[in-house]
This record gives sequence, C-alpha cells and structure tokens, in this order.
Amino acid sequence: MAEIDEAIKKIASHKGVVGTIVVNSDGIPIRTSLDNTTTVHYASLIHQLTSKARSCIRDIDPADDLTFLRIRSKKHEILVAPDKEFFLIVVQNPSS
Amino acid sequence: MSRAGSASSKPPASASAAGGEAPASGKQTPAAAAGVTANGSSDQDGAEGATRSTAATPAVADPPTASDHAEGPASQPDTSGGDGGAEGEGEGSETQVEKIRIRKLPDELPAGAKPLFMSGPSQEIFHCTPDVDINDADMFKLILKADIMQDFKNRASVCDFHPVKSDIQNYPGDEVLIVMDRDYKYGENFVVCLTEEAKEFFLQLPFEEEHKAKGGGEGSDGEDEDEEDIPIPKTPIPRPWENLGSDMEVIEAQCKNQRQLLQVKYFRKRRFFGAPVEFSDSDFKERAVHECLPSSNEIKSVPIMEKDKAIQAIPETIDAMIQTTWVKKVHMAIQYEPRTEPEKPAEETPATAVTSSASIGVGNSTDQPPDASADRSTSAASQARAATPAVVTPAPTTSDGSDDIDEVLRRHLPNVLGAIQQNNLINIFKDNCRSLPVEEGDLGTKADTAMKEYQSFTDLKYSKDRTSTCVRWHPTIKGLIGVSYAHALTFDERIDMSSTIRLSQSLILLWSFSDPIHPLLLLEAPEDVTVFEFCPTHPNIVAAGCVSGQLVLWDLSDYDGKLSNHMALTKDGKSEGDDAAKVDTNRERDKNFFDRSTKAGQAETVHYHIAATIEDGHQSIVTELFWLPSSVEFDRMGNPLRSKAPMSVQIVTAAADGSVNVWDLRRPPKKQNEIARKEAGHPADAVLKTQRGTRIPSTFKHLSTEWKPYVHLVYGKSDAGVPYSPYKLATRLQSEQDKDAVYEREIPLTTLPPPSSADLVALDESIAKYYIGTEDGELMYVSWPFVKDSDSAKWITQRPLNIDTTHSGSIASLERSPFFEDIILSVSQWTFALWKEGVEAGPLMHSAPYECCLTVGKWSPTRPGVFFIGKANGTVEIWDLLDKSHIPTLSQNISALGITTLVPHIQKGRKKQQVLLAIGDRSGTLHVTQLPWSLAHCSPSERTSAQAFFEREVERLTYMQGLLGKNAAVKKTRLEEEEAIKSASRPDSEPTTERRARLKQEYKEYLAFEHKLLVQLGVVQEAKTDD
Repeated sequence: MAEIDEAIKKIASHKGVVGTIVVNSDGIPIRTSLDNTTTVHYASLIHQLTSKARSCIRDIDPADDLTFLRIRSKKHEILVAPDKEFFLIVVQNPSS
Repeated sequence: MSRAGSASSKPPASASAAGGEAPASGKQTPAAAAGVTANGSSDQDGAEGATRSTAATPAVADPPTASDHAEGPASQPDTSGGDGGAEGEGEGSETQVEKIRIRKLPDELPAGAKPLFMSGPSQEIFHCTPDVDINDADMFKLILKADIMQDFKNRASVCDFHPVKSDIQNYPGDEVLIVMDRDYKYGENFVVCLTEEAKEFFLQLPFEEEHKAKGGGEGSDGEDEDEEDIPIPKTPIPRPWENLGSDMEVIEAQCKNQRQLLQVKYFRKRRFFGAPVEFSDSDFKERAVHECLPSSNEIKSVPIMEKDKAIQAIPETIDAMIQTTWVKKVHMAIQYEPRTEPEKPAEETPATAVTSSASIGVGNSTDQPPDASADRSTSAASQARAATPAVVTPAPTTSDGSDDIDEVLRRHLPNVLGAIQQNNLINIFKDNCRSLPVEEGDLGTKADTAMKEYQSFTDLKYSKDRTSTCVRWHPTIKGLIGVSYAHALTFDERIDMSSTIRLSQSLILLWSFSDPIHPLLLLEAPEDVTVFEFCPTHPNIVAAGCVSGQLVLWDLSDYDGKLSNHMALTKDGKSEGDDAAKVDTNRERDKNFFDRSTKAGQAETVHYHIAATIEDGHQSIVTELFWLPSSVEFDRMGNPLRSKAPMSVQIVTAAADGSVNVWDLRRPPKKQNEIARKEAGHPADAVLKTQRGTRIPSTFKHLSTEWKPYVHLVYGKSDAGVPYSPYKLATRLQSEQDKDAVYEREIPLTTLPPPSSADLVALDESIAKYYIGTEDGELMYVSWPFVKDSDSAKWITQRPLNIDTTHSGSIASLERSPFFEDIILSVSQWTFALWKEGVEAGPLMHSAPYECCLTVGKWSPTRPGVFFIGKANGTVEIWDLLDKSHIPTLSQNISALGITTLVPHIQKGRKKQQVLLAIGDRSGTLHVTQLPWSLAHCSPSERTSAQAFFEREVERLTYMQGLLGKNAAVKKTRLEEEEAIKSASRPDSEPTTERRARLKQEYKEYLAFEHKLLVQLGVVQEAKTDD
C-alpha cells in the first residue's frame, strides 16, 4: 500500500499534475487523488477509450499491444498507462 | 518473189489510198482510221506510223517465209511458228478473244483465186463489209456475176473487179465467191475465186477451234495444219473523231509570233572595258535612279485559325478491395461504485458503499442506503480533509491485488514521469511559425517604404483658401470622411474681417471616396468649426465645436440612405450623361432625378439643427470635443459613472477659456424644463429659428429651447485668478467603448429619461483621472469630480494632482496610446513627449526641439510603437520606437503648406486591411495616404516588445532620477567642501610688507639651496662663489 501512495506522490510532485487515478480492468477506480465525481468520470470514460484504443492496435497487428496512451486536449494532457490488470491515469495541465 | 515484193509494197500504198478515201466515205477500215488519226495531229503521226509499221511488219517479214514456204513444205512449221508469233502479237493487241469456229485460209492460194482489193464503197455495193456483212466465222460472200457486170458498167475502171474483169466475164457460174482476207495474207483484203474449183476449195475449208493458247506453242508442237486454231484478233475500231472544241485548245497552245521580234542591242565604248570603277553618292532624282524597295507583297503564310483536336483524359482507376472485420455492437453497461474508506476504522463498515452522483444504473439506487446523501457529504468532507490522495478500497481486489498494483505502478512509473517531464519541458503544440517575424524582407521593397497618396479631396468653392481644422472618418460607412474648414486668420484678423467672414458659409464637408471633387454633403455651422465628431453609437448625429465657443448638432437621419449608398450614387451620376439620350423606366428616371438634384445644385447643405447659445457655450475657441461612450456618463458632480443609456449621450468639450464642459443630449430634468418654459419666447431662440428657417428634427426637439452644459468644470490656478486653459484632454473614458457596440440608425433620444445619477455605479478610481494639455504647455493630471471646498463650502474642481511644465508651447495634441492606456503622447509646438500615467518624474521620452512647429501627433491604430507627427512645413514624420527612437523612421513631405490635422484609419478590405492616413493641410486640401505595409502591420510580438520598451524607459527614468539626486547631493557636498577649504585657506588678514619679507626670505633660501646643489654636481666652482 505504501508503495502505491509513494508512487502517486512522486507523480503528483511534478509540475502541472492535476491528479492520478489507478483503475482496475473493470474500470473501477482503486486509487485516486481527485474527488469522487471526477474520478468516476475519468475512470469510466478513459477505460472505454483505452479498451477501444487497445482493440484498435490489436486489430491492426495481433502481435502488437498498447503500452501508453497520451491524449492532448486544450486544457490537459491525459496520460494512460494500460496494463493487464490496472490502468494508471495521470491528468496533467502542461501549460501551468 | 515478185509477188512477195508486191505484197510488201502494197500495204502502204493501200493505206495511203485508204487515207485519201476515208474522209470522203466516212466509214473506215482500220488502216483508214489510222490515217484519219494521223491527219488529226501531226504529233501523233509518228506513233501512228509505228503502229502501222508493226501491223505491216508481218507482211514485210512474210515474203521470205512465204518464199521458203513455196520452195519446200518442210519448212511449214517454222513459218507457222512465225505466223503464230504474229498472231500472238495481234492477240495481244485485241482486248478479247472469243472461242469461235473459224476457217483458216491456206497458206497458198489455189489456182483460180486471186487477191483483190475492195474499197469501202465496193464493199457496200456488194454487201461484203467486214464485221457487218461478213465476219471471221463466215468469211465468204457469194456475189452474183450479174451484179459485178452491172458494176463494170456503172463504175467502169473504178470498179474493184476491173483487174479481173475478163476472168469475171468468163466465169462459168452465176455467183462469184469472194473471201475476206483480213490479214492481207495474200496481199489484198479479199480473195476472189475466178474458177469453180477455187470456189469449191474455199467453201470446203475445214473449221477449226481457236484456242487461247499461244499460236507459237501450237505451231512448234507440229500439229496438223488444218486443225490449227487461228485466233482472229479483233480489229480495234476507232471511234469517229468528233470535234468538241479541243482544236481550239490546241490552237491556243500553239506558240506563234504575233509581231515582229524586237531587237535589243547593247554596246559599250571600247575604252570602258576593264576600266577601274568608281562608286560615289548621287542624287537619285537627278540620275533617275530607281529605288528598289523591298516588296511588300510577301507570301503570306496562312495561319491555322481553327483546328480540331481531341484529347481524352481517362483517370487511372484501380480496383481494390479491403475487408474489415465488423465487430457487432453490443449494448454494455458497467456499473461501478466508488467506495470510500469510512472515517472510522475499516473493519467496522466494510460494506458501506457510497454511490457517486455519476454512477449509472437504476437498480443501484434501490440498493442505496437511505442516508446515502449524508454519507456522500461526509465522504467528500473526509476527502477534503485529507490532503493526500484519497484511498479508495476496491471491493473486488484482495490483498494479493496490491502486489499487482505495485508491480504495475513500478513498471509504468518511468513512462508516466517521462511523459510528464516531456510536457513540462517542451510544448510540442506551440506554433513556432506564428511567432516568427513576418515583415522582414517579405514586402520590404523600396517602393513600399513610403506613404502612397491614395486620394486627395479639395473643393474650389468651399475649401479653397481655408485651413482644414478637423478630420473625422465616418465610424461605420466605408469611404466616407468629414473635414471641417476654417478661415486661416488670426484672432485680430478675424475681428477685422468679421463682416466678410459672416457672409461666407462655415462648413463641414463630407467626402465620398468615389468622388474627390464634389463633396457628398455640406454641414453648415454658425461659425467656423474647429473640431467635430460623429456620435460613436449613432453616426447620424454630428457634434461640432465652433470658433465662437458654441456647440452645434446635426441629425443626418434624412440623408442616411445617401450616405450609406454614397458609392453607388456617384457611379450612377457618372453614367447619367450617357443615359441622358435614352428614355428610361420610371424608376430609373426617379433615380436620375434624385441624382440630378444632388448633382446640379452641388451637394446638399444641411443647416445645423441645434446650437448652444453663445452665452451658454465656451467663451473661447472649442479645442477639444469627444463623445463619451454609451457605457459612461457623468453626473452633476462630475463623477464618471457606468451608464445604462443605450447610446452615447454626453459630449465633453474643452476650450481655452479654462473650462471643461459636459453636455447631455437627453431631456433636461423637469425642474429646469419648467423654468425654460417660463422663459418661453426666449429672444435668442426666436432669432435662431428664423435665421435658419429650417425645422428642428424631432430628435432634438427637447433641446431646442435650451441646451446648457450639464457639467461645467473650471480649473483655476491657485496663485492667480487666471484659470488654466485646457486645450486637449486625454481621458480613459473613450477606451471604455464596447468593442462590439451595435451602431444604430434610430435615435432614441426623445424616449430617454432625463439624466439622473440615481442608480448608477461609479467607475474605477483610475478612470476618474485624466490629463489636460494647456495653452501654456502645462500637462496637468487632474481628477474629474468636484470637491467641496472646506473654506467656502462650495463645490469646486479638484486641484491638479500634478503639473508638468516640460513643454514650452501650447499643447497641440494629447492622446493615449490605443494599446497601452497609461502611455500618453503629447505634442507641443516645438517638441513632443511620451508620458506614462503615474510616473511623475517627467516624460519617458522627450524629443529634441524641432526647427519648425509641430501641429499634430497621433498614435498608430495598428502598431503599438508607432506614432505620427505632423509638422507646420507640410511634413509627416512616422516614428517607430521599436526601430529607432532618436530619429523618425519615415519623414515624408505631403503638402507644400503646413499640416493641420492627421487621422489614421483602418480600412478593412475583403482580403487585407490597410491603414489610411487622412492629412488635412493649411490650404484646405485633404490628402488620404496609404501607409507602407511594414509600418501598418503589427508583428505578433510587437506589443510585448513595445511594453518592454516603455518599462525600460520608466526604469531608466527612475534610475536617472536617483542618479540625479545622488549627483546633486554629491555636488552639493563637494561644493560645500570646496567652499570650506577656500574659506579656510584664504589668508585674509596678512599685511603686505610682512608677506613681502617672507617671500624674500624664501627666495634667498631657495637660491642657497640651488647653489649648494650645483656645487655638489660640480657645475659651479667653489671658487666662483668667492668671486
């Protein structure tokens, strides 16, 4: 447990990091540094997007797999590190 | 042999005989035909002769063979072969050979048979014409003896049978047989049988088949003579020659001498032969030299005007197929519940699930405990309290899962951190191209560095010999510009000439870009207009300040259509002359009528609608006038407030009489109105109305009786009673203008309530302060509202917060930068300066004094660091502070006379905007020039660099100030010290005698010292001293 917190802290120590969410394979948030509503929102939507992105990559080449997903928006950049069991979602505001 | 010889000699004779007969008879034998054709053309003669000779050749060649044949039958095959060859030739000349049964004449005439020549007439008489009466198949003709005998009688010796007359007479039978001998085998064309035996012989001649095969081949085969086929070649039958006019052509083609041949004789004197030739110039007329010019009749090449060509372009197409696997869409739902750690230890309420507001699913709500909302609030509170990330315990994960999480995090942490760092280091989405400077070298050609004259406006009647005082662009209508003119006179001259000036109109001319000679509209004012402005929200209202200090208003609503369509109208006016002859439709005529009414009577003159009386207005020339934006208005106490009126209703004016007035267009408050009504029939008003004789538009009806300044501010100097004379104002109020203000045509003035400050909000403190440039060159920083004087309890204007006297002459222009509200440009007579609001130490920048007067200064509307300065010698300077701050970037002479006014304007085109500079000069001409591209277009980073420039200047100023203070202090102390030293060292009380003695003593000492030194050096002898 301590290790997770430490990692999340490490991420949060960087400039512009808005929040970090750890989501399990079902799209249920496990750890978050954001408030509940935002977390759920992010978790469900990003989970769907990530699954879609992963299936897209696998459809192109079955031997390939998604390792990292970065979404740049006007306000934020959402970094997604998908794994078999968990997703790590980091929301960053790069312009801050 | 003799027979053969006769045979060989006969045919030509017969031919010639036939030639002689043929034209007479009209029916020709082959030979005769040949003769006729030979007669027709002498040219053909040779050819014809040749053919005849070929025809004759066998006959000529025959005699030896015939003689051989006569000597021995053994040589028969040879002759037949030669015969066949002759036949072959004949066959070749025939076009067709029929298979007919013919008899072949024997090679040797039997006894009693004789060759006989029968001429054409004879053939007719006896009906034996070849191919008519007899032919190859039936070559025999039996002629009655009696007929022949008759013929003897008729024709005597002419008769063809004459040579055999005696034989015929002795002929025993009744009928005489004649046999056609087409080939002249026996020398003549017929053979006559003079005995019965001969007759029998011929009649019993066997028939034989004629074959197509060569006669020569057959002959060489040695076939039986009797069975041999004799091909009888068809005689070519020449058609009778008919004269179709070709003889004329022939005659024409002939070349004959029509006249005697000319003789030309060239001769040259003998001595000129081989003599050296000298060439020299000569007059061609004298020497009658013909000049041979090159012929103009060249062979003209015919250009290809039209050409049919076809090109077919077929796009390349590719058939391709891609198959993508289509995943069937399935409705899916995920239900999730964030679970927060309760405040209490986990073991107590492990199952307390809190659904978030974003959770999906209806079924979820049923499971929710009744106090869900309360729980949520507590959980939110707990999260708020916990600054560290909220710990969410997942329901399905067990303690084993945590290891997975750690592992996953460990694996991904470098990635995530790297990405975060990347984002922080470089903004990959930053458009670097946008921040690049554009202008360098892009359009920086030499021609583009100067202002280009776009258009110039002058009117011979109204603007000549007058000075343009004010130029304003129409705020909404493109290509419309107003200029006010005034007589170029000093105050004294004006008084002297007041009577003549009164007679001439005082006008504001509205010019359209489409017509630089005829003004579109004339606005007439009671006195020369010094300054005017269109209302920013309702451009149909024009306010002007006059020389007399009056404020005048026009309402141009009636001319709205004309103004807004000014481009189209002038175009119609131009085509009017062309259309004059034509009778147009009614509509067209109406339009023309309208045009003519405006054209013929020059432009329409609009008399002023409202003017403040002279008593109520300024006491001096109005020097500054501007409309307040619709968002700002003053109350009676001079407080600028946030206005709620839908339009600009207040005008601020300043004049050299020391007052700043605020005028309100709305209906005055009730009380004053009543007073005004009491004074009904105000003499001034009555006079005003009759003088003008025009109706007052309903817009200004409420102002017609009385229009007084709403606020009247007088700035007095503290020491003397003389007030400051504000010339120009620089407020922040104008910048309050809403950027997206809607310009309206309808003027809602009458419906507006009278001004009251009841529920209006005060504006920011900084806005309430403004700068005044005075006639004496002072720059005052003052605050708007009145304050109550503590002594007299009267409301008086506030004392200026700061007065700067950097400028020596009267302020000609004072303007805030459109980009930086706190940067102010002031132009005095000899210098200009830049100020920053709040910096009281002095100007940021102060120009060196000019050699000629400066008349106007304006900021560029497009570039933060650029401003324009107009000078009295007709030159316009453009300063670009970011380029050079010690000399102007561009200095261009616009007019021969001085420039009086200068207004930049952004003209928005379809593709790009351009910056036009309207420049009025002392002669009344308005020049509209186009700024060079580089000076009109702002680079993206210019604003920041301009800001940096001004900040640097402020820093410099404060530093200099500090330095100056320090220097002053240092200088002062130094001076004091010096003073002290001086005062200390000065021998003030020593008597002169004592001093002289002392000096003498010192000199003696010195001499002794010197001597001693010289002795030591050995320069001077010791003994010398003895001397």
